[in-house]
Amino acid sequence: MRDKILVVDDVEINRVLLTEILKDEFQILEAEDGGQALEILEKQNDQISVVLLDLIMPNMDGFAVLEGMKSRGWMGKIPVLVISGESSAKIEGRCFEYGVSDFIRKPFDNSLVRKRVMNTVNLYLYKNHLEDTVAKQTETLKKQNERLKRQAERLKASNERIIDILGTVVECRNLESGEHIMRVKEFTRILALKMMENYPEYGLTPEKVEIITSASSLHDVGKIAIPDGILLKPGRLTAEEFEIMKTHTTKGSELLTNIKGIWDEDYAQVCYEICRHHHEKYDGRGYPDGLKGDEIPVAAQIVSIADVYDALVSSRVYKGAFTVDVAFQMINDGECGVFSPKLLDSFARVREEFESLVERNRAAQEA
Amino acid sequence: MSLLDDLKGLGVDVEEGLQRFMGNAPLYERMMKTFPKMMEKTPVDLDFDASDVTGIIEVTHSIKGATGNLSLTPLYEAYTKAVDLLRGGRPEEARQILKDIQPVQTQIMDCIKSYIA
Repeated sequence: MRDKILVVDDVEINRVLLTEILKDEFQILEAEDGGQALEILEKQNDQISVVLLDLIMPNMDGFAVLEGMKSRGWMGKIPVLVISGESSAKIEGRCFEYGVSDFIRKPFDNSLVRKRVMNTVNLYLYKNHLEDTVAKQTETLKKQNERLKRQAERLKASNERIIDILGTVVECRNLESGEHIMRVKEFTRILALKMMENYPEYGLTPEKVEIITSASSLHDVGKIAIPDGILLKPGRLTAEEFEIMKTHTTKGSELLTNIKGIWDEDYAQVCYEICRHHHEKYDGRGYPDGLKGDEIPVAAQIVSIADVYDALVSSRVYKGAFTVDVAFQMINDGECGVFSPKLLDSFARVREEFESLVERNRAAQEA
Repeated sequence: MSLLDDLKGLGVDVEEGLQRFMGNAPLYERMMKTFPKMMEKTPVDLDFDASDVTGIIEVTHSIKGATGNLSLTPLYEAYTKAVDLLRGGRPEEARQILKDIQPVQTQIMDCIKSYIA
């Protein structure tokens, strides 16, 4: 509790007079020079409500005290009222530059000193109370923020674990190789980042790009519901078989709808969109819903081109790999269905990155 | 007669001094009695070196503050002028002021001392 006043003056008469004025409200500590003042402050700075400071003193003057208080971080915490016979505005200005609260000239009027001391003490009490409150609230908010951050991290980890588990199910049925899923993820990330950069109208953010990238690994999760006879058939599918094969989009999205609620809404929504709509085409000739243009969620559009590109540059049981140039041309010429012009523009801009990735993957496979 | 009455006769503004000491005449008198001791402890050297006035400014400034608070008006006015002249680079004029006030100062000091047991 701050209930003490430190009076610093080399002249006893002045100290006694100030003590007399303030002794009813405060316990008075006296210092005859700056050195003594700093010693007292060192020990009792948390109990002193105001310092009444003379300027001209032997050994260590008032400015040295102000300097000492400033260097110890006490200015601003303990108010200082300079009480001096100085009449120079320059010296008064210098005191205020140090952050003193008031400047009282000697000889002083006792009632004025009392009022100005009380005003300053009350102001600082209020100020310190406010600062304490703000500091406590900041601390609480900081803790809450850390807790939320930890929860968000746990949730993110949990969402990614669910996606990994489902992805592993697809892999275990040998529906798609783990490499294909990884490559589609990489292509998706590159393309999504470029879309974010060039087309802000889609509202993509780094966080959303991460979710789309992660969720891309589930684009074919619905294939677990397709009979082996069709899914693993080495030759061309009949029209009837192809119709069944197309249901992997709806079956996958139904599966994801069933597990909705156990994971984060954003993840669930993006996974659903990718899974259901990654075979839609920009001209409305895709499946399952025949969505047209930007009715097709942007996440599905991005994964769609990533999936098609990887299929073209990879060899499958029923076909060899196309060169990257041919693959690029086929997609641009609409041989694999029509894509959005904005997406094709972004695809062209990341062409080199895509091709480097293909190169690296091929080198890794051969090693 | 009392100390304060005597001082009033020497030009001391006792009313103002008493007001400053919140009407506490014994305290005012007690403080008044510390004044000679203070003057003896830090005497004004009238032969100060005019080329280095730092020390004399410190002493006259302290006396100015004390005499002001005690309402020793003639002394306060003289010391205020002296401090201003010293700071203004006019040490010889300050010296003269300090010399001129010595008789009044001695009178006041003697008066106070006569009441010190």
